[in-house]
Parts: sequence; C-alpha cells; structure tokens
Amino acid sequence: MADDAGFRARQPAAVDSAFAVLEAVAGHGPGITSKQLVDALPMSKATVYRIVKHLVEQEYLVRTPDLAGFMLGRRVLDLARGPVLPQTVESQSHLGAPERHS
Amino acid sequence: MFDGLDRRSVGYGDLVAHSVAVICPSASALSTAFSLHRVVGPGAWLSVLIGVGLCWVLAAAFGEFASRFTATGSLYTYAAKGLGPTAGLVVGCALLLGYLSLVDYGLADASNQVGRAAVAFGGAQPSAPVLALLVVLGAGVCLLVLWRGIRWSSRFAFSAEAVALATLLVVLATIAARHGVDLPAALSLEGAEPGKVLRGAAMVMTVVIGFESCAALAVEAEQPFRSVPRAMRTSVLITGGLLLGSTLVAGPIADHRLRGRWFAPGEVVSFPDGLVLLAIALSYVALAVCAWTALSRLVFAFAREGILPAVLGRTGRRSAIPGAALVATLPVVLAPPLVALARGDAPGAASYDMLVWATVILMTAYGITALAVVPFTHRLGEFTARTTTLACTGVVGTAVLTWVDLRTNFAQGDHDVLTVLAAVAVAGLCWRAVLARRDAVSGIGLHEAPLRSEVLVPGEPPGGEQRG
Repeated sequence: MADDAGFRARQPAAVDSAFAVLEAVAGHGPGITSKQLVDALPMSKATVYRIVKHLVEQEYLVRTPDLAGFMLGRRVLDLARGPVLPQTVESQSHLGAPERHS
Repeated sequence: MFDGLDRRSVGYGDLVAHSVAVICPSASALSTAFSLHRVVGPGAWLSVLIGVGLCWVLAAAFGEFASRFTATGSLYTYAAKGLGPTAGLVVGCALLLGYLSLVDYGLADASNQVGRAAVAFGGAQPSAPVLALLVVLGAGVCLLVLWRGIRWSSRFAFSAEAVALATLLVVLATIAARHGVDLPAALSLEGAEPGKVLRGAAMVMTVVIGFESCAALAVEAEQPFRSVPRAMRTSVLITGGLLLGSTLVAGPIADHRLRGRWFAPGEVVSFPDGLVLLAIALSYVALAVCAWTALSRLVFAFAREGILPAVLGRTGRRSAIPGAALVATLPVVLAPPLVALARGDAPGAASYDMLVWATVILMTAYGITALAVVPFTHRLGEFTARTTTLACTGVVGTAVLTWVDLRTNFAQGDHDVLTVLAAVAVAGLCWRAVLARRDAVSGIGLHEAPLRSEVLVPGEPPGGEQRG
C-alpha cells in the first residue's frame, strides 16, 4: 500500500495534479522533461517538481537514462492490467451479475 | 551495469539498520555523549543538535541524488555526476579509505570489547596476540555473514542493532533511575562558550559519519528512490535522538569516568556490565559487516565502470554479492591488526589513528558531494531554492566543523591528518591522469538504466530484463 504522506493536504487537488502529470507524460511520450511539464501544466514549478518526485519514488514515473526526462513506469502498466479475470468470464460480457426482476 | 546483484531485496528497515550499524550509536552514546560534557560543558545538548542537524541537511542533500538514480558507488557517483570525474575520483579515494578504516575500527574494537567483557566477567585481560586473533576471527565471521547474501547480512545488521539499542536503553534507564535527570540544568546555556559548542558539534559529526552507507545498496533496495533517501535521514534522526537522550542522562554524572562500568562504577568484576560490553562488541561486528558491504559495492562500481580490473566486478551466482571485491579487500582489512601484532602493539591502536584521519577525510568528501547537488540539479533543469539551501548549508557547515576538528587535531600535535588528506587528493588526481591516458574517463560515475520491464514503452509489449 502506498504511503499517503504526500497527499495529506488538499487531497483531491493533489490527486488531480498527479493524474495531470501522468496524462502529460502519456500524451507527450517518453522523454518529457520537468521544464516541459512546468510549461504544459497550470501548476507552479515547485508543485510539478514535488509531484514528479513523488511519482518517481512510487515508480509510476521512471527517469530516462539521461535522468532529464520521464517515462510511464510499470505501476501504471499494473493499473492498466488490473487483476486477472476468471476464465469463465467472457471478455465481451458485463462484469455485474444480472439483476432479477420479479 | 550492476547485473548479478540481488535486486529489490533489501527493505526499508534493513536499509536504516545498515546505516545505523555503520554509525554504531550504541557505543557512541555510551562514550562520546558522556565525554561531551567534559569537552563542551554547558550547552552539550546544543552541540548534539548542531552536529546532528548538519548531518540531516547533508542526508537530505545526498537524497537529491538518491531519489533520481541508483548506483552502488554512493557519494563517488554523486560527486562525479555533479562535479565531474576528477571530483568523483577524489571522493572515491576518500570513501575507500573511510570505509576501510571503519571496517578495521569495527573489527579492532569488537575484539577490544570482548577483552573488556572477559575482565568484567572475572577473567584476565587478553594479551595482544589473543586480541589480534579475535580480530581475524571477527573478519571470518563477517565474511561468513556477507557470503550468505545481502538479505542475510542486512537482517544480521538489523538484529545486532536491535540488541545493541535495547541494551543502550536499559543502561540509560538505569542511570536515569539512579541519578535522576535534571532537565533545567542539562538544558541551561549559562556559561556556554560558542567555540566549545562548535568543538562538541564537530565531535558529534565524527560520530554520525557513515549515515550515507546505505546508499551503496541502492540497486539492491526495494523502492530505492523512496527508501534510500529516507533511510539516510532516519538513521541520522535515530542517532540524534539517542545521543541527545544520553547527553541529558549523562549530565549528573559528567565528572565520573565510568570506564565500561555503568551498573557497578569502580568495580572490576560486574556481570551486567560484561553483558553490555558484549552487546557493544556485537554492534561493532555489525559495523564491520555493513562498512565492508559498502566498501565492496564501491570497488564493484569501480570495476563495472572499467576503472579497476573487471575481475573485481564479478558476483557470485548463488550469493549475488560482489564476492571478488570482498575477497580482494580482505588482505587490506587484515593488514593493520596483523602489523600491530607483529610490532607488539594493541590491534586497536593503528585502527584508531586511521579512523581519526578517515573522519576528517569523509567530512571533506561530504562537503564536496553537497556542493555537487547544485550543478547536478541545474543540469537537469530541476534546480530549486530548497536544493540551493541544502547544498549551501551542507558545504558551509561541513567546512566549519571540519576546520574545528582539524584545529583540535593540530592542538594535540597531530598534523598527520593533513598529510593523509593531501595524499587522498593526490591519489584521486593521479588516478584521473592514468585513466585519461587510457581513455577510460567516460565510464566514471555511471548509474543503472531502468529495465524494459520497469517502463511502459508505447507500441511495445512489456519486456523482460533488458535495459531500457
């Protein structure tokens, strides 16, 4: 379970900001730098740095080999994968059980 | 780059224990904290706060590197990234000497404490050859522990420190119950002299030396970008808390010279004091294990970067440790006690001299590395007011306390430390010149690139263990 130390204050805003950073990295592709993130996002430099640092620590972002840019990390991939569904569930089927109407 | 190590296997608690073991606070809290009152007088607690506070600032500054990349070279790699290969090699030479001295000191003092425990249990003081034999045995125990792999050795350090710290707390509680704690008197600054307070702060800083050693385990740590910076800071805070507690408790008995008899002052035979001395000996063995771990990772980094023979970069298939680097350093580790034995000296004498030099040299290396934060973050475009403040405070504070420590050495007639400091700088410069001739400078200060399995590359299925 991830530590929530970075999200103590104004939680919804912090979560929104973190997703905005992740979406910016995903939209730009591997290699976007901190400066480019600051230019692209409506946040202060300090906020972007703090969020990027936290996301790197949590491995949602990974630095490029030259350390200046960022890529999406494996934890984003884990989110996308989600849990493996039972084989009896067809990929096209609805996840919820059918409601009974009597 | 650092293939062959047991990646992502060392937890946060074990990382903290690793750095705490190298600092060895249980022994310091029972010696330095008590002698601090005699050196500083009023304001000893302020010395602890200044010394520990500066180390915390340095840990935070080093965290700027540790939160951005992983490498086994710790401060050597940090200095090279920020200030270039020459500074990196000078810091690398300082770390080699520093960690080697810490291993020697740990082994020699473990043997000394076992000897003192033997006396406390009613036996005779072991002779110099027996103490030297204990040093060799201690080195054997360290090698056995290290050879089992990093998971085992880090658990050993954690367990040893748990025993040592629990023992320390029992001793402090006993002293506090017997003599009381006079907080208003202990915290009074009446009659405090700034010069003496700074001298005390320099003493405290020499005690906290080694807090950065867990950074050598960055490749082997779980969530390294988060756990390594935090572990450095936490180990400093744990040590600071213990030193502060000991300083406050030691106030009422500052004039007593306990000489290893906390439960029965003045007595020769004391079973509980013998047990305390054995616990301290155990923490010194943990110090040797962890300093040797850091030393072997540093040599391993040099070898993998091609600036030392490649054979030193080999890792064991089962143990997943840099076994070749470990074995290569064994003769250097054993030489001081064996030379002391041949000369008829106590095995701890040479190690203690080396440690005094090593602390000054490591403090200088800390200052250089703190300075490296500024160009490093500037180059990445991530330069902030916080990093500048950390770097400037670290550099200025370290320079002041190193100077105070040097002046203390000079006042005692010891000028050798300047010679050793110059020798380390010259060694780094010569090494740089040799590498430049071999065209091998470009390999200095490398870090581990992410694995393909750790990143999400668009249009590509998640891969195996290849580098990204």
